[in-house]
Amino acid sequence: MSKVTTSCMRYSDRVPAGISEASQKALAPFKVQWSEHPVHGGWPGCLVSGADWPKVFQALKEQANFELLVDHTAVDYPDRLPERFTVLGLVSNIHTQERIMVRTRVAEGGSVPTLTHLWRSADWAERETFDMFGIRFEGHPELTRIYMPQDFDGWPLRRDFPLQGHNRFRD
Amino acid sequence: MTSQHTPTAAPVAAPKSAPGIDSEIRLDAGDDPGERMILNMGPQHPSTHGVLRLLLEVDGERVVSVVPDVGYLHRGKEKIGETLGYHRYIPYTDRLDYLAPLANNCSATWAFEKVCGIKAPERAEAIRTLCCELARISAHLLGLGAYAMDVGAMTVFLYTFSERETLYNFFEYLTGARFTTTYTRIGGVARDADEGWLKDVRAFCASLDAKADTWEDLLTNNRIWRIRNEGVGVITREMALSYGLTGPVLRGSGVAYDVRKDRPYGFYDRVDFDVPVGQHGDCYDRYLVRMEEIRQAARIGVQVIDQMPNGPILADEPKFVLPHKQGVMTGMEQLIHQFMLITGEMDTPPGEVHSHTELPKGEGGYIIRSEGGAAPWRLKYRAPSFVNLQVLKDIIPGHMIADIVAILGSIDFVMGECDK
Repeated sequence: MSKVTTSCMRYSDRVPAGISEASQKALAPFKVQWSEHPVHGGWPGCLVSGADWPKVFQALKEQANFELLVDHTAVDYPDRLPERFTVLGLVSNIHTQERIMVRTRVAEGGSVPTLTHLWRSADWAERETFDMFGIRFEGHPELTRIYMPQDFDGWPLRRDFPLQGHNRFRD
Repeated sequence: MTSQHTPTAAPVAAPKSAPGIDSEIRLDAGDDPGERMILNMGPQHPSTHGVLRLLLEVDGERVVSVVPDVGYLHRGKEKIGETLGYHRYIPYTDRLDYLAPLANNCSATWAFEKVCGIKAPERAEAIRTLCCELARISAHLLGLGAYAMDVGAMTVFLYTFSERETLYNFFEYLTGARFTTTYTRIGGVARDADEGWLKDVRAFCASLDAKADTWEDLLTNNRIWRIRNEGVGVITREMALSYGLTGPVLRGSGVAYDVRKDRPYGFYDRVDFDVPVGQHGDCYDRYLVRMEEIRQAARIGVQVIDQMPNGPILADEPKFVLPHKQGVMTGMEQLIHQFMLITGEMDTPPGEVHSHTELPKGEGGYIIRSEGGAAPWRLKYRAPSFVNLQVLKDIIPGHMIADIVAILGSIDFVMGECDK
């Protein structure tokens, strides 16, 4: 295992360049920490609390016209306690080409509220994240595995899941 | 294909408790299935283009509900990428959308170059852009041919496959392989395109418009083709955006969204092309959009070749870029360098990179979290086929079983990409 114990992402209160006024206004009611990118090539992003997760997306979608949920995934830091997972959701405004990467953190065994009431694409996206990381999405209509067999034991994309030898010596 | 009558007494209800463990994918046929029955379409059905399984509930020939089931081709590409590292992941991208491997190679390297913070030379970018468009033509040709054949028009398949053969010969000359190209490298491309090849490709692209007219003659005003496709599988604008559809499927529903136009990468800011959009969002519009995209891709191809810059094909960034193969075979320094980069002596700056490109099936790309080192900490691939397939459960119900074949053909997915 690698020695990485914490994320390279750094958050501050300073609003990064590239966030439009409409988005700032939509996000004003929430406690948002903005991320700065150590390398170029990423969209501006922010970190919100798990309780605010669906509300932030709703505000972005309804007030700032972010119509497309482009991508949804999670990142695992097994040694970062208590909240080892970061859940990511990338939303896009297809008129202004603005994109925001919204993040939240969740502990192992914890859950994040679903986005399925906002975008139907969140259905399979959250099922994939659940399948790969074991993060539960509260309120999802059918949270079952999508890639792996239903009776598969383990969460393949967690960093502590081995590439080979999983379950080989199980009783 | 197997069929099974549902027993009237025992409704098949999905177990609500303990999701993820011991629960089968099931269809809830309600308390009184009546004349309805459950039908498995796939995973080995010829019109599902790979291993897509559709669990249909049918009332006679009419579909009442459908559950798409994916994952039969899951190979854990993201885990492989997180283990092998950037350089060694590129061959695996050939097997994502295996009908357009060059586009996947380019998409991956554009993302990895952002991670390393380097840029490929102009000539490499131009060759990549050309490759992306040729891959788009070949992917659309196969999609179109197979679509028409599934709907019953056998001839189109033969026409499009003869052009596809020409394209694959071009790929073979350029990359040394027809399908598993592995052509791009971080910081450039593996081999240079010679003048003769560029001349041939230009002649091909310039002549494609007339050939597309021939295919359109066979289909666009073909009465059977129109009856089979018009008004079938309608996706509204709202539905398309809610399902996160991209590519020709989204544009068929009237949204002019194209990554190449909206956030140009590679050489796309220096070429002129149109983004075709549909009006009704039905299968026929998606067919028209794809047809026009073939013409536009050929148009881009001609422009790129006309503006092809001279210069190196690999960036001069020895900390990230593999040395030329010839140098590796003859020089000690280069051999050591290649060995170090491949075995993991590469230190990328930490950070998060989002790189999305317009693949033939839609917007695809990577979210990469780097924590330094030669391998990504997290590599997420957005598979356009995976996202696009979700819409099936909304547009298929109400149609006849034979319409499913047309709808699947018009969505044009690849399971290798969908299942990652």
